[in-house]
Amino acid sequence: MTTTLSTRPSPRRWGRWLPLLTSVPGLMFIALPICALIWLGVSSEAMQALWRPASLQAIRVSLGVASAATLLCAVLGLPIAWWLSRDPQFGARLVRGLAMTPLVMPPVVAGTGLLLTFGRKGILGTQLEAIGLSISFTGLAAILAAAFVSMPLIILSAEAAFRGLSRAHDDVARTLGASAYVRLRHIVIPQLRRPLFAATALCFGRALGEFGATITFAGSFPGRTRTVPLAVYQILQRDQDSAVALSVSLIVVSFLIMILSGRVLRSS
Amino acid sequence: MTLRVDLELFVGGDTPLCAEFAASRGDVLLVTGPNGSGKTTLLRALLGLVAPLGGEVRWDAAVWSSGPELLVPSEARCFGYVPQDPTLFPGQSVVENVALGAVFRGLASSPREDVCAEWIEDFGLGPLRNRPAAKLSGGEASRTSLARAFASAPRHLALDEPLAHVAEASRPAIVDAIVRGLQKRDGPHIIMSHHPKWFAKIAPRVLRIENHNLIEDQGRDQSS
Repeated sequence: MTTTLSTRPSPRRWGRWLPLLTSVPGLMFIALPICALIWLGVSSEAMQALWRPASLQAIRVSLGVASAATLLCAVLGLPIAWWLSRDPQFGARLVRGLAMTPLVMPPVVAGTGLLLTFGRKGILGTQLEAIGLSISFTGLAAILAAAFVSMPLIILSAEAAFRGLSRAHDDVARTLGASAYVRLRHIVIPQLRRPLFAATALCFGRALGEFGATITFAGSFPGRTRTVPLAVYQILQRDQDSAVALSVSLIVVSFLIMILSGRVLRSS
Repeated sequence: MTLRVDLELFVGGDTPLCAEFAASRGDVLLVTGPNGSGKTTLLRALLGLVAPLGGEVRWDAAVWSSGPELLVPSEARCFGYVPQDPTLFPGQSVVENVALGAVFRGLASSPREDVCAEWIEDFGLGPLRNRPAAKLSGGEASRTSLARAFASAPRHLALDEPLAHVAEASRPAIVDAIVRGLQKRDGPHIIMSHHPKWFAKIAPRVLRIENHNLIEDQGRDQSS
Protein backbone atom coordinates (compact mmCIF):
# COMPACT_ATOMS: atom_id res chain seq x y z
CA MET A 1 0.00 0.00 0.00
CA THR A 2 1.43 3.32 -0.98
CA THR A 3 -1.40 5.53 0.23
CA THR A 4 -1.34 6.60 3.82
CA LEU A 5 -4.07 8.08 5.92
CA SER A 6 -2.94 11.28 7.52
CA THR A 7 -4.60 12.40 10.72
CA ARG A 8 -2.45 15.50 11.09
CA PRO A 9 -4.26 18.82 10.73
CA SER A 10 -4.05 20.20 7.26
CA PRO A 11 -1.46 22.95 6.95
CA ARG A 12 -3.93 25.04 4.96
CA ARG A 13 -5.95 27.42 7.06
CA TRP A 14 -9.39 26.70 5.64
CA GLY A 15 -8.78 23.00 6.00
CA ARG A 16 -8.31 23.48 9.70
CA TRP A 17 -11.53 25.40 10.21
CA LEU A 18 -13.61 23.49 7.69
CA PRO A 19 -14.91 20.84 10.13
CA LEU A 20 -16.10 23.49 12.56
CA LEU A 21 -17.59 25.73 9.84
CA THR A 22 -19.57 22.89 8.30
CA SER A 23 -20.86 21.96 11.75
CA VAL A 24 -22.33 25.39 12.46
CA PRO A 25 -25.64 24.96 10.57
CA GLY A 26 -26.30 21.66 12.37
CA LEU A 27 -25.48 23.12 15.76
CA MET A 28 -27.76 26.08 15.11
CA PHE A 29 -30.53 23.73 14.04
CA ILE A 30 -30.32 21.99 17.43
CA ALA A 31 -29.65 25.04 19.57
CA LEU A 32 -32.24 27.50 18.22
CA PRO A 33 -35.43 25.62 19.17
CA ILE A 34 -33.99 24.88 22.62
CA CYS A 35 -33.05 28.54 23.05
CA ALA A 36 -36.50 29.67 21.90
CA LEU A 37 -38.13 27.43 24.52
CA ILE A 38 -35.85 28.57 27.30
CA TRP A 39 -36.13 32.21 26.24
CA LEU A 40 -39.93 32.09 26.40
CA GLY A 41 -39.91 29.68 29.33
CA VAL A 42 -38.11 31.97 31.72
CA SER A 43 -40.70 34.72 31.20
CA SER A 44 -42.77 35.43 34.30
CA GLU A 45 -46.04 34.42 32.60
CA ALA A 46 -44.65 31.00 31.79
CA MET A 47 -43.20 30.63 35.28
CA GLN A 48 -46.63 31.29 36.77
CA ALA A 49 -48.29 28.93 34.30
CA LEU A 50 -46.08 26.11 35.53
CA TRP A 51 -47.75 26.22 38.96
CA ARG A 52 -51.27 25.84 37.59
CA PRO A 53 -52.91 22.62 38.81
CA ALA A 54 -53.18 21.22 35.26
CA SER A 55 -49.44 21.65 34.69
CA LEU A 56 -48.46 20.13 38.01
CA GLN A 57 -50.84 17.26 37.39
CA ALA A 58 -49.25 16.53 34.00
CA ILE A 59 -45.77 16.57 35.56
CA ARG A 60 -46.93 14.21 38.30
CA VAL A 61 -48.45 11.81 35.75
CA SER A 62 -45.32 11.96 33.61
CA LEU A 63 -42.92 11.20 36.46
CA GLY A 64 -45.11 8.36 37.71
CA VAL A 65 -45.60 6.80 34.29
CA ALA A 66 -41.93 7.10 33.32
CA SER A 67 -40.75 5.63 36.65
CA ALA A 68 -43.12 2.67 36.41
CA ALA A 69 -42.21 2.13 32.75
CA THR A 70 -38.50 2.17 33.60
CA LEU A 71 -39.05 -0.40 36.34
CA LEU A 72 -41.02 -2.57 33.94
CA CYS A 73 -38.30 -2.24 31.29
CA ALA A 74 -35.65 -3.26 33.82
CA VAL A 75 -37.62 -6.32 34.92
CA LEU A 76 -38.45 -7.42 31.37
CA GLY A 77 -35.38 -6.13 29.52
CA LEU A 78 -32.43 -7.07 31.72
CA PRO A 79 -32.91 -10.84 31.30
CA ILE A 80 -32.97 -10.37 27.51
CA ALA A 81 -29.80 -8.27 27.66
CA TRP A 82 -28.16 -10.86 29.89
CA TRP A 83 -29.12 -13.68 27.55
CA LEU A 84 -27.91 -11.80 24.44
CA SER A 85 -24.60 -11.01 26.13
CA ARG A 86 -23.90 -14.73 26.48
CA ASP A 87 -23.79 -15.09 22.69
CA PRO A 88 -26.60 -17.65 22.48
CA GLN A 89 -26.16 -20.16 19.67
CA PHE A 90 -29.73 -19.96 18.42
CA GLY A 91 -32.02 -17.04 17.84
CA ALA A 92 -29.70 -14.23 18.89
CA ARG A 93 -30.06 -12.38 15.62
CA LEU A 94 -33.83 -12.79 15.59
CA VAL A 95 -34.20 -11.71 19.21
CA ARG A 96 -31.92 -8.72 18.80
CA GLY A 97 -33.88 -7.64 15.72
CA LEU A 98 -37.14 -8.05 17.57
CA ALA A 99 -35.88 -6.17 20.60
CA MET A 100 -34.71 -3.27 18.45
CA THR A 101 -37.92 -2.98 16.44
CA PRO A 102 -39.71 -0.54 18.80
CA LEU A 103 -36.79 1.83 18.26
CA VAL A 104 -37.47 2.24 14.54
CA MET A 105 -41.22 1.68 14.65
CA PRO A 106 -43.40 4.80 14.50
CA PRO A 107 -44.80 5.19 18.05
CA VAL A 108 -48.36 5.54 16.72
CA VAL A 109 -47.98 2.12 15.13
CA ALA A 110 -46.64 0.78 18.43
CA GLY A 111 -49.72 2.18 20.18
CA THR A 112 -51.97 0.53 17.61
CA GLY A 113 -50.20 -2.77 18.18
CA LEU A 114 -50.67 -2.47 21.94
CA LEU A 115 -54.35 -1.65 21.40
CA LEU A 116 -54.77 -4.72 19.19
CA THR A 117 -53.15 -6.86 21.89
CA PHE A 118 -54.32 -5.51 25.23
CA GLY A 119 -57.30 -3.45 24.06
CA ARG A 120 -60.88 -4.49 24.75
CA LYS A 121 -61.16 -6.07 21.28
CA GLY A 122 -57.50 -7.11 21.19
CA ILE A 123 -56.23 -10.68 21.11
CA LEU A 124 -55.85 -10.77 24.89
CA GLY A 125 -58.82 -8.45 25.48
CA THR A 126 -61.44 -11.05 26.36
CA GLN A 127 -59.12 -12.95 28.68
CA LEU A 128 -58.14 -9.75 30.45
CA GLU A 129 -61.78 -8.72 30.66
CA ALA A 130 -62.59 -12.09 32.21
CA ILE A 131 -60.28 -11.39 35.12
CA GLY A 132 -61.72 -7.90 35.41
CA LEU A 133 -58.80 -6.08 33.83
CA SER A 134 -59.43 -3.37 31.27
CA ILE A 135 -56.15 -1.83 30.29
CA SER A 136 -56.63 0.51 27.36
CA PHE A 137 -57.05 4.21 28.21
CA THR A 138 -55.87 3.73 31.81
CA GLY A 139 -52.71 4.72 33.61
CA LEU A 140 -51.47 1.18 33.14
CA ALA A 141 -51.83 1.63 29.37
CA ALA A 142 -49.67 4.75 29.52
CA ILE A 143 -47.04 2.77 31.42
CA LEU A 144 -47.13 -0.09 28.91
CA ALA A 145 -46.87 2.34 25.98
CA ALA A 146 -43.85 4.12 27.47
CA ALA A 147 -42.22 0.81 28.39
CA PHE A 148 -42.75 -0.61 24.91
CA VAL A 149 -40.88 2.19 23.16
CA SER A 150 -38.10 2.40 25.81
CA MET A 151 -37.27 -1.30 26.04
CA PRO A 152 -34.72 -1.33 23.20
CA LEU A 153 -32.61 1.30 24.95
CA ILE A 154 -32.23 -0.64 28.18
CA ILE A 155 -31.61 -3.90 26.32
CA LEU A 156 -28.93 -2.33 24.11
CA SER A 157 -27.03 -0.57 26.87
CA ALA A 158 -27.39 -3.35 29.44
CA GLU A 159 -26.12 -5.90 26.94
CA ALA A 160 -23.02 -3.76 26.48
CA ALA A 161 -22.67 -3.57 30.27
CA PHE A 162 -22.91 -7.36 30.67
CA ARG A 163 -20.39 -7.85 27.87
CA GLY A 164 -18.02 -5.42 29.56
CA LEU A 165 -17.79 -7.63 32.64
CA SER A 166 -14.20 -8.74 33.10
CA ARG A 167 -13.80 -12.50 32.77
CA ALA A 168 -10.19 -12.20 33.93
CA HIS A 169 -11.15 -10.69 37.30
CA ASP A 170 -13.76 -13.37 37.81
CA ASP A 171 -11.16 -16.05 37.11
CA VAL A 172 -8.63 -14.61 39.54
CA ALA A 173 -11.31 -14.27 42.20
CA ARG A 174 -12.22 -17.94 41.78
CA THR A 175 -8.63 -19.04 42.34
CA LEU A 176 -8.58 -16.80 45.42
CA GLY A 177 -11.46 -18.84 46.79
CA ALA A 178 -14.39 -16.56 46.03
CA SER A 179 -17.73 -18.37 45.91
CA ALA A 180 -20.35 -17.47 43.33
CA TYR A 181 -22.09 -15.21 45.85
CA VAL A 182 -18.86 -13.45 46.80
CA ARG A 183 -17.98 -12.89 43.14
CA LEU A 184 -21.43 -11.47 42.44
CA ARG A 185 -21.18 -9.10 45.39
CA HIS A 186 -17.54 -8.04 45.07
CA ILE A 187 -16.94 -8.19 41.33
CA VAL A 188 -20.08 -8.31 39.23
CA ILE A 189 -22.28 -5.78 40.99
CA PRO A 190 -19.60 -3.09 41.43
CA GLN A 191 -18.79 -3.37 37.73
CA LEU A 192 -22.42 -3.21 36.65
CA ARG A 193 -23.61 -0.42 38.92
CA ARG A 194 -22.50 2.47 36.76
CA PRO A 195 -23.43 1.20 33.28
CA LEU A 196 -26.79 -0.11 34.50
CA PHE A 197 -27.59 3.24 36.08
CA ALA A 198 -26.77 4.92 32.77
CA ALA A 199 -28.97 2.41 30.93
CA THR A 200 -31.84 3.09 33.33
CA ALA A 201 -31.44 6.85 32.98
CA LEU A 202 -31.54 6.57 29.19
CA CYS A 203 -34.67 4.44 29.42
CA PHE A 204 -36.32 6.90 31.81
CA GLY A 205 -35.51 9.80 29.49
CA ARG A 206 -37.11 8.05 26.52
CA ALA A 207 -40.17 7.05 28.56
CA LEU A 208 -40.61 10.64 29.69
CA GLY A 209 -40.86 11.90 26.11
CA GLU A 210 -43.24 9.25 24.84
CA PHE A 211 -46.19 10.65 22.86
CA GLY A 212 -47.47 8.64 19.90
CA ALA A 213 -47.98 5.26 21.50
CA THR A 214 -49.46 6.85 24.62
CA ILE A 215 -52.09 8.91 22.83
CA THR A 216 -53.08 5.92 20.69
CA PHE A 217 -53.27 3.31 23.42
CA ALA A 218 -53.88 5.33 26.57
CA GLY A 219 -55.57 8.47 25.34
CA SER A 220 -55.18 11.81 27.06
CA PHE A 221 -57.11 11.83 30.32
CA PRO A 222 -56.03 14.52 32.76
CA GLY A 223 -54.62 13.05 35.95
CA ARG A 224 -54.39 9.52 34.55
CA THR A 225 -52.75 9.36 31.15
CA ARG A 226 -52.14 13.00 30.20
CA THR A 227 -48.35 13.16 30.45
CA VAL A 228 -46.38 16.34 29.86
CA PRO A 229 -45.87 15.79 26.10
CA LEU A 230 -49.61 15.16 25.66
CA ALA A 231 -50.48 18.20 27.75
CA VAL A 232 -48.11 20.39 25.73
CA TYR A 233 -49.68 19.24 22.50
CA GLN A 234 -53.21 19.72 23.84
CA ILE A 235 -52.81 23.23 25.21
CA LEU A 236 -50.32 24.74 22.77
CA GLN A 237 -53.08 26.41 20.69
CA ARG A 238 -54.97 28.08 23.52
CA ASP A 239 -52.42 28.52 26.30
CA GLN A 240 -48.93 29.00 24.93
CA ASP A 241 -47.50 30.01 28.32
CA SER A 242 -48.37 26.72 29.98
CA ALA A 243 -47.16 24.74 26.96
CA VAL A 244 -43.81 26.51 27.02
CA ALA A 245 -43.48 26.16 30.79
CA LEU A 246 -44.16 22.44 30.63
CA SER A 247 -41.72 22.01 27.75
CA VAL A 248 -39.02 23.75 29.71
CA SER A 249 -39.77 21.56 32.72
CA LEU A 250 -39.13 18.50 30.52
CA ILE A 251 -35.86 19.99 29.29
CA VAL A 252 -34.83 20.64 32.89
CA VAL A 253 -35.67 17.09 33.94
CA SER A 254 -33.74 15.68 30.95
CA PHE A 255 -30.78 17.84 31.88
CA LEU A 256 -30.97 16.70 35.50
CA ILE A 257 -30.93 13.08 34.36
CA MET A 258 -27.88 13.75 32.23
CA ILE A 259 -26.03 15.53 35.03
CA LEU A 260 -27.03 12.97 37.63
CA SER A 261 -25.96 9.99 35.54
CA GLY A 262 -22.76 11.82 34.64
CA ARG A 263 -22.04 12.45 38.31
CA VAL A 264 -22.75 8.86 39.26
CA LEU A 265 -20.52 7.71 36.43
CA ARG A 266 -17.65 9.81 37.65
CA SER A 267 -17.94 9.33 41.38
CA SER A 268 -18.23 5.57 41.74
CA MET B 1 1.08 -36.56 46.71
CA THR B 2 1.17 -36.52 42.94
CA LEU B 3 -0.44 -34.36 40.31
CA ARG B 4 -1.18 -36.49 37.25
CA VAL B 5 -2.11 -34.69 34.09
CA ASP B 6 -3.19 -36.25 30.82
CA LEU B 7 -5.10 -33.64 28.85
CA GLU B 8 -6.32 -32.82 25.39
CA LEU B 9 -6.92 -29.12 24.97
CA PHE B 10 -8.44 -26.90 22.32
CA VAL B 11 -5.88 -24.28 21.39
CA GLY B 12 -7.39 -23.03 18.14
CA GLY B 13 -7.05 -24.85 14.82
CA ASP B 14 -7.78 -28.50 14.20
CA THR B 15 -5.07 -30.17 16.27
CA PRO B 16 -5.54 -30.28 20.03
CA LEU B 17 -2.65 -29.84 22.43
CA CYS B 18 -1.73 -33.08 24.20
CA ALA B 19 -0.17 -32.62 27.60
CA GLU B 20 0.86 -35.52 29.78
CA PHE B 21 3.01 -35.32 32.88
CA ALA B 22 3.16 -36.17 36.54
CA ALA B 23 4.63 -33.98 39.25
CA SER B 24 5.14 -34.45 42.97
CA ARG B 25 5.54 -32.28 46.00
CA GLY B 26 8.46 -29.93 45.69
CA ASP B 27 8.58 -30.09 41.90
CA VAL B 28 8.71 -26.89 39.91
CA LEU B 29 7.69 -27.28 36.28
CA LEU B 30 8.75 -24.66 33.80
CA VAL B 31 6.81 -24.74 30.55
CA THR B 32 8.13 -22.94 27.49
CA GLY B 33 6.88 -22.77 23.94
CA PRO B 34 6.12 -20.29 21.20
CA ASN B 35 3.33 -17.75 21.54
CA GLY B 36 -0.04 -19.26 20.79
CA SER B 37 1.14 -22.81 21.45
CA GLY B 38 -1.29 -23.15 24.35
CA LYS B 39 0.74 -22.42 27.49
CA THR B 40 -1.96 -20.24 29.00
CA THR B 41 -4.70 -22.69 28.02
CA LEU B 42 -2.83 -25.54 29.72
CA LEU B 43 -2.47 -23.47 32.86
CA ARG B 44 -6.13 -22.46 32.86
CA ALA B 45 -7.18 -26.07 32.39
CA LEU B 46 -5.16 -27.06 35.47
CA LEU B 47 -6.84 -24.25 37.38
CA GLY B 48 -10.27 -25.40 36.24
CA LEU B 49 -10.98 -22.16 34.40
CA VAL B 50 -11.38 -23.78 31.00
CA ALA B 51 -12.88 -27.15 30.13
CA PRO B 52 -10.53 -29.59 28.39
CA LEU B 53 -11.56 -31.57 25.30
CA GLY B 54 -10.69 -34.79 27.07
CA GLY B 55 -8.33 -36.55 29.41
CA GLU B 56 -7.96 -36.35 33.14
CA VAL B 57 -6.36 -34.35 35.94
CA ARG B 58 -5.83 -36.06 39.29
CA TRP B 59 -4.38 -34.84 42.54
CA ASP B 60 -3.67 -38.05 44.41
CA ALA B 61 -7.00 -39.84 44.71
CA ALA B 62 -9.08 -36.78 43.80
CA VAL B 63 -10.16 -36.46 40.17
CA TRP B 64 -10.16 -32.75 39.31
CA SER B 65 -11.46 -33.16 35.79
CA SER B 66 -12.51 -36.07 33.69
CA GLY B 67 -13.16 -35.62 29.99
CA PRO B 68 -14.67 -32.19 29.48
CA GLU B 69 -16.17 -32.19 32.95
CA LEU B 70 -14.71 -30.08 35.74
CA LEU B 71 -15.31 -32.09 38.89
CA VAL B 72 -13.44 -29.90 41.38
CA PRO B 73 -14.06 -26.14 41.01
CA SER B 74 -11.20 -23.65 40.78
CA GLU B 75 -11.99 -22.41 44.29
CA ALA B 76 -11.09 -25.81 45.74
CA ARG B 77 -7.92 -26.60 43.77
CA CYS B 78 -5.66 -24.56 46.07
CA PHE B 79 -3.81 -22.83 43.26
CA GLY B 80 -2.35 -19.36 43.59
CA TYR B 81 -2.79 -17.90 40.11
CA VAL B 82 -0.76 -15.10 38.60
CA PRO B 83 -2.24 -14.38 35.17
CA GLN B 84 -0.20 -12.88 32.38
CA ASP B 85 -1.97 -9.58 32.87
CA PRO B 86 -1.79 -8.63 36.58
CA THR B 87 -5.63 -8.26 36.77
CA LEU B 88 -5.74 -6.22 39.96
CA PHE B 89 -8.91 -4.63 41.26
CA PRO B 90 -8.27 -1.03 40.21
CA GLY B 91 -10.30 0.72 42.89
CA GLN B 92 -8.50 -1.04 45.72
CA SER B 93 -5.10 -0.39 47.23
CA VAL B 94 -2.09 -2.68 47.06
CA VAL B 95 -2.78 -4.07 50.55
CA GLU B 96 -6.44 -4.62 49.76
CA ASN B 97 -5.54 -6.50 46.59
CA VAL B 98 -2.96 -8.66 48.33
CA ALA B 99 -5.40 -9.52 51.11
CA LEU B 100 -8.23 -10.50 48.75
CA GLY B 101 -7.68 -14.22 49.18
CA ALA B 102 -8.24 -13.97 52.92
CA VAL B 103 -11.29 -11.76 52.44
CA PHE B 104 -12.81 -14.01 49.78
CA ARG B 105 -12.29 -17.13 51.86
CA GLY B 106 -13.93 -15.39 54.79
CA LEU B 107 -10.82 -15.52 56.98
CA ALA B 108 -10.82 -11.77 57.40
CA SER B 109 -13.72 -9.38 57.18
CA SER B 110 -11.50 -6.50 56.14
CA PRO B 111 -8.02 -6.43 54.63
CA ARG B 112 -5.72 -7.19 57.56
CA GLU B 113 -2.06 -6.42 57.45
CA ASP B 114 -1.00 -9.54 59.31
CA VAL B 115 -2.43 -11.77 56.63
CA CYS B 116 -0.18 -10.37 53.98
CA ALA B 117 2.59 -8.34 55.65
CA GLU B 118 5.16 -11.03 54.88
CA TRP B 119 4.40 -10.97 51.15
CA ILE B 120 4.16 -7.19 50.96
CA GLU B 121 7.71 -7.09 52.32
CA ASP B 122 9.01 -9.94 50.17
CA PHE B 123 7.88 -8.33 46.95
CA GLY B 124 9.10 -4.89 47.97
CA LEU B 125 5.62 -3.38 48.12
CA GLY B 126 6.01 -1.71 51.53
CA PRO B 127 6.26 1.86 50.25
CA LEU B 128 3.35 1.28 47.85
CA ARG B 129 1.00 -0.43 50.29
CA ASN B 130 -1.70 2.23 50.25
CA ARG B 131 -1.47 3.19 46.60
CA PRO B 132 -4.55 2.45 44.46
CA ALA B 133 -3.89 -0.42 42.06
CA ALA B 134 -4.90 1.76 39.12
CA LYS B 135 -1.87 3.98 39.74
CA LEU B 136 0.80 1.26 39.66
CA SER B 137 3.37 0.75 36.92
CA GLY B 138 3.44 -2.55 35.05
CA GLY B 139 6.20 -3.97 37.21
CA GLU B 140 4.57 -2.83 40.47
CA ALA B 141 1.27 -4.37 39.38
CA SER B 142 3.04 -7.66 38.58
CA ARG B 143 4.61 -7.72 42.05
CA THR B 144 1.22 -7.02 43.64
CA SER B 145 -0.35 -9.82 41.62
CA LEU B 146 2.42 -12.21 42.76
CA ALA B 147 2.07 -11.18 46.41
CA ARG B 148 -1.68 -11.68 46.16
CA ALA B 149 -1.28 -15.22 44.82
CA PHE B 150 1.21 -16.20 47.55
CA ALA B 151 -0.79 -14.54 50.31
CA SER B 152 -3.88 -16.60 49.53
CA ALA B 153 -2.01 -19.51 51.16
CA PRO B 154 -2.25 -21.91 48.22
CA ARG B 155 -0.70 -25.36 47.96
CA HIS B 156 0.38 -24.81 44.35
CA LEU B 157 1.44 -21.75 42.41
CA ALA B 158 0.60 -21.19 38.76
CA LEU B 159 2.57 -18.33 37.29
CA ASP B 160 1.90 -17.19 33.72
CA GLU B 161 4.83 -15.15 32.42
CA PRO B 162 5.48 -13.52 35.81
CA LEU B 163 8.34 -11.42 34.40
CA ALA B 164 6.54 -10.14 31.30
CA HIS B 165 5.84 -6.65 32.65
CA VAL B 166 8.96 -6.39 34.79
CA ALA B 167 11.97 -4.32 33.70
CA GLU B 168 15.19 -6.26 33.19
CA ALA B 169 16.90 -4.49 36.11
CA SER B 170 14.35 -5.49 38.73
CA ARG B 171 14.01 -9.09 37.62
CA PRO B 172 16.66 -10.66 39.91
CA ALA B 173 14.99 -9.35 43.07
CA ILE B 174 11.57 -10.54 41.96
CA VAL B 175 12.86 -13.95 40.92
CA ASP B 176 14.49 -14.26 44.38
CA ALA B 177 11.17 -13.44 46.04
CA ILE B 178 9.36 -15.95 43.81
CA VAL B 179 11.90 -18.67 44.59
CA ARG B 180 11.65 -18.05 48.34
CA GLY B 181 7.87 -18.11 48.06
CA LEU B 182 7.77 -21.35 46.07
CA GLN B 183 9.91 -23.05 48.69
CA LYS B 184 7.42 -22.11 51.40
CA ARG B 185 4.58 -23.80 49.51
CA ASP B 186 4.24 -27.54 48.95
CA GLY B 187 3.86 -27.66 45.20
CA PRO B 188 4.10 -28.93 42.59
CA HIS B 189 4.28 -25.47 41.04
CA ILE B 190 4.00 -24.49 37.41
CA ILE B 191 5.61 -21.52 35.70
CA MET B 192 4.97 -20.54 32.10
CA SER B 193 7.86 -18.47 30.86
CA HIS B 194 9.88 -17.42 27.86
CA HIS B 195 12.82 -16.90 30.20
CA PRO B 196 13.84 -20.28 31.63
CA LYS B 197 17.30 -19.00 32.55
CA TRP B 198 15.88 -16.72 35.22
CA PHE B 199 14.54 -19.68 37.12
CA ALA B 200 17.62 -21.89 36.79
CA LYS B 201 18.44 -21.67 40.49
CA ILE B 202 15.33 -23.58 41.53
CA ALA B 203 16.34 -26.32 39.10
CA PRO B 204 12.96 -26.67 37.50
CA ARG B 205 11.90 -29.49 35.27
CA VAL B 206 11.71 -27.87 31.86
CA LEU B 207 8.91 -28.83 29.49
CA ARG B 208 8.47 -27.54 25.96
CA ILE B 209 5.37 -27.36 23.80
CA GLU B 210 6.35 -28.55 20.35
CA ASN B 211 3.98 -29.47 17.53
CA HIS B 212 1.01 -29.70 19.85
CA ASN B 213 2.80 -31.93 22.31
CA LEU B 214 4.30 -31.29 25.70
CA ILE B 215 7.83 -32.68 25.79
CA GLU B 216 10.10 -32.85 28.82
CA ASP B 217 13.76 -31.92 28.39
CA GLN B 218 15.45 -34.90 29.96
CA GLY B 219 18.83 -33.22 30.36
CA ARG B 220 17.28 -30.34 32.31
CA ASP B 221 18.87 -28.08 29.76
CA GLN B 222 18.42 -24.43 30.69
CA SER B 223 20.59 -22.92 28.02
CA SER B 224 17.77 -21.32 26.01
